[in-house]
Amino acid sequence: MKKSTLELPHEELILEEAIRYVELPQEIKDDIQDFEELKSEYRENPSDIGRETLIKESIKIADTIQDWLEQDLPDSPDDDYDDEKINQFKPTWKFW
Amino acid sequence: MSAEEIAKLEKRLANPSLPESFKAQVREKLARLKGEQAGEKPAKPVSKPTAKPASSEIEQLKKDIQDPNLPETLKQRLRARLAQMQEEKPKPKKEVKKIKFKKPAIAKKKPTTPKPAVVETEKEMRKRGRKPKEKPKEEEPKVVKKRGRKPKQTAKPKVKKVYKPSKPVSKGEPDCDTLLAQWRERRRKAKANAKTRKTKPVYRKIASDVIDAVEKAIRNVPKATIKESPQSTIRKFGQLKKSAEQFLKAFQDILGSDYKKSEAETELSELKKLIDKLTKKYARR
Repeated sequence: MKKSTLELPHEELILEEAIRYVELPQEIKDDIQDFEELKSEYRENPSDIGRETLIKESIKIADTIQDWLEQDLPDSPDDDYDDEKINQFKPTWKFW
Repeated sequence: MSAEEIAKLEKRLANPSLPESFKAQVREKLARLKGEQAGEKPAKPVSKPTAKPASSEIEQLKKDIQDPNLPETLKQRLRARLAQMQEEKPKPKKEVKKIKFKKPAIAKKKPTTPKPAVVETEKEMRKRGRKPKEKPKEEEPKVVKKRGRKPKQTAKPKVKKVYKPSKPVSKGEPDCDTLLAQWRERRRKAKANAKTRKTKPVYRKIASDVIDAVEKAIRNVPKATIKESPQSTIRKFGQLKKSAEQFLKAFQDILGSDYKKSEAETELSELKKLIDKLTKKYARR
């Protein structure tokens, strides 16, 4: 059995993107819950098969999360808003 | 009584015919009586002087017997005493000869050579009409069981359960490593396109937080209270959901184009599902 650390892509993705669990859609939440059950099973009786299935499941979840992130969403409004505001409140008048 | 005795003893002392040895005894007695009379404690009997050697006493007795002044009656007594003393005289010890016991002489036996036992073969035995003796079976050495505690049984090694995934693993799927490689490639591309990546709308962020707050509130209600009055509690949940919907709609004025009805509906649909589930479980029975 491989003794390397368990690499779970979906957990890495959540950490990198700073995604809150609450923000995730219900389908992904359900998938994560199922995955946690599998993970606890694996922790009790670790094996190669278990490790492989866990990684595969994690990749599936990571794909769905990535899909959800890459949905057709509008451009970041925050940056535009800031630029506009800054331009808007620039003093256009002069004292002299 | 004691005075009379004292007077008697004094008379005896005055008598010149009495021997000196007798007079010494009389004097002792007299002194003791006088002490008693004076009120003194009776003196401890003086330990008798060490017995005079018998030979000197015998000589004294012989002198007294030869004394012509002594009466015949006293002389007779003295003679008897002398005879007694002489008898008591210790006899010289006889040397005891040690007797040596000789060991009885035992005739030594000559070692007899054992006669060779005549072993009859089975054939000879049969010829003579006898049954051949059965050979004694070789007895197996008995294993002596030791008393006391039984030796501890070695602990059985724990058998580790092998993990069996509850989900069936479909065959023909690509290998785990290839899947990981594919995923890394996709992730790399996503990072490269990060600048052009679309971000999450503000409205979705707000809606998810509001819906989450309502959900938490509903899940926090204990089962017992729902069971007590299911319809009224579920009605309250519905009201909460309605007010959340109204609250989200209120953002429309501020957000303007960011507001999307469809997004609000998708977020609220989860809440609706939860309430339906609860009504099924408790209200409709």
